[in-house]
Amino acid sequence: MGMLMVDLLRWLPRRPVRWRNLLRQMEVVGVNSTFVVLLTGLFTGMVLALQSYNGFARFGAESLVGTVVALSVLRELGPVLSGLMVTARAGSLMAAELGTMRVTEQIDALYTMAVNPVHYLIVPRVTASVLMVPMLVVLSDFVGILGGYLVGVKLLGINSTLYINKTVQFVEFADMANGLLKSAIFGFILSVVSCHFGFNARGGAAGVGRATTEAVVYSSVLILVFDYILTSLLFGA
Amino acid sequence: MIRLQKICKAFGPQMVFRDLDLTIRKGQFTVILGPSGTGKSVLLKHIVGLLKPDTGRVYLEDLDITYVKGEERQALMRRFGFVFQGSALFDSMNVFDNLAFGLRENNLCPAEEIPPRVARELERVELSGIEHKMPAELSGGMQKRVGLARATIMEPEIILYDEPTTGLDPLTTVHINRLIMAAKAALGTTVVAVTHDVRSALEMADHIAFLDEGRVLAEGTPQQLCANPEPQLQEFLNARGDAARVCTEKRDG
Repeated sequence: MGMLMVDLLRWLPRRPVRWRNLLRQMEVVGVNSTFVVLLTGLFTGMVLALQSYNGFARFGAESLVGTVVALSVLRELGPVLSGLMVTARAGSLMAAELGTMRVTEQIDALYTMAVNPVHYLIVPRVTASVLMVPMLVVLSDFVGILGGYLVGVKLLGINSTLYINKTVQFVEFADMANGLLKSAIFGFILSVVSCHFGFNARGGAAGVGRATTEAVVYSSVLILVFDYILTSLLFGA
Repeated sequence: MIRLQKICKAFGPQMVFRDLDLTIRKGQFTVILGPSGTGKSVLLKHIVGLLKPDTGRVYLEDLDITYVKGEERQALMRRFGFVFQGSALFDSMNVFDNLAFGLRENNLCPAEEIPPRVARELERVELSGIEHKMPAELSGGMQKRVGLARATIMEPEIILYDEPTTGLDPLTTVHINRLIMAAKAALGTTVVAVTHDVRSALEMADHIAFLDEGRVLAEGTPQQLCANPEPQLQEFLNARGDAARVCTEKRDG
């Protein structure tokens, strides 16, 4: 993977910028993942409200449900769950697509036609992921908080004004900004890992299948590991 | 001129080349002949740097190109064309975009000249009018010809063919061979082809290198090869009646 990273960084700034490939990948990573990310975000916010209400009601702190939902979604669950969903959808696609191109010698064909495969295939995928995952997370954050509000206020009967006031009072812009920074890094991780396994796939159909599985497993685990590391750096000990 | 010097290559415990030396002369048609599994395709990939030798060097003219990378490598690859065994057409693009790809990416000609050039190239391989088809819609023989057109459209100095006729019916084989010769005549290209089709090799090549046990066991013109008493070579050349006849004709002039 180190080799690929070096190659990637070498080819990242080079021209020409392949706008067509980049836009296509932004569609694949971003637009096509929107629905599943929204769904994940909505239900996460809803269940968070339900769970924290259960806990807080025991010591009469129901009004803090909004704060807990917003902080959890912005700082943690929005970025991580979106990262995992994009891995499942777009990461697996990258690995399978590049893996198939590898085993059918299409990547070798690019090379022999004087086109650098890293520049042509990987740079647009990584760039698109770094740009689009944070945008998905903005949407996911929004519907997550909305879902929490709906369950908390409409279903469980917390006072609406109190719910909103407590949320606004304790949540800072930095909570969201840090979450978005994390999600950009998750976008980088999932695309580099997925491209790595696809790009280096060997051994026909079985090899492509293996590459896809490994791409999803390694990306997901690395996202969770880096989530801890980044959180401890960004939010302090 | 391409020169491979003392190439050694192993995949795990399996030694593919031991101190392999081979010179490919400019403007000639060189055929690399040999039984399956002797690393013929691997050799071709060493020439363009898709595979690197464990030890040894690859020279193009006097330039050591073994480990050339980055933009230098890209500049170098513009001088080569490579026709893959499985065609390796880009399956997400139609035939037109496959052929136009190299021209566009390397800015080899203005955009308005691309469609006529693609049409001309398709006509040459007798596949006019299939620009809009996807590779999956084509037969194996048609894919081969499109692959051939994709390599020649960039007018490279050197074209490498990896098993151009393996798995094709006899008529298509003759057709492909004719196309290869026509492309060579038209462009004056240096051609290197890997094959185990003895008959095609004897009929088309200027120079044949017979590969066995990790090295060039015998080489020379078809006549010289047919007259070479090396038992492994003679066994290979005479395994099939039609090739053996061509061989006898060559030897006896």
